[in-house]
Amino acid sequence: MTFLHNREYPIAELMPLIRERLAAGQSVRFSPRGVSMLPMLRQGKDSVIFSPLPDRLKKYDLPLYQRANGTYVLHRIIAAGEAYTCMGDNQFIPEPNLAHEQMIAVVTAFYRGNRKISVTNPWYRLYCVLWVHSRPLRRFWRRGIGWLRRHLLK
Amino acid sequence: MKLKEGFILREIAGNTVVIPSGEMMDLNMMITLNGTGAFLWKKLEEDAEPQDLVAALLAEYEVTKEQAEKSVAKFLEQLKENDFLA
Repeated sequence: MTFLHNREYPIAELMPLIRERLAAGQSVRFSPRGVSMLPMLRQGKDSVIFSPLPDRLKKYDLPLYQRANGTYVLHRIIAAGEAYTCMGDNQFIPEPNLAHEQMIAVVTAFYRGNRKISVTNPWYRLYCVLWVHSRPLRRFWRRGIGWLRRHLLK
Repeated sequence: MKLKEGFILREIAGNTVVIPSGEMMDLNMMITLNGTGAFLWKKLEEDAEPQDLVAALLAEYEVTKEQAEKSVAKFLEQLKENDFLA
């Protein structure tokens, strides 16, 4: 008989616990699912550390937030004014008008496999800036590859 | 016989889970307990010896003493394997 099981739960089920620990000032290690934060976060391999929110978030911060439709999202802030605009590193369409009240936690460190990297790591900062600013180029590149596939590899 | 300190026990989606939680709560280390496991875990939180766990099982479930002893031994073995015992 097995008394102990490894079982995964959807983040919505874990949210009350996550919110409770954040409110107590604790940080929470979590493995996000999905591909929208590639190449930084690979599902099943990498994990993030959520910490309680500061008063305001900044450009390049990586918050966990809740959309108006209830879904939970981990995407990067690419513009921060009165509201935030977020986008996954593997996405090309920004999500504007996100209120600070929708933000739940912010990533302060992450694990690439077993290696812990702080968000203050200069190489990570460089990645954030280069990745966000190369979006037009990456989009063009991706479209170009798509075009080549459609026209040349028929 | 005692559990290590720093575990949080919670109900999630109808299941009982335990999560190691010091300065940081690591959801990757979360373990789901089955019904009997949750029952025995709660007994161990109050510091219990194997024979106390067997007695508790006999009082709560319709099992023979032999089955209860076997279950407790197996449960403690699994706790040990996962490094949950102090």
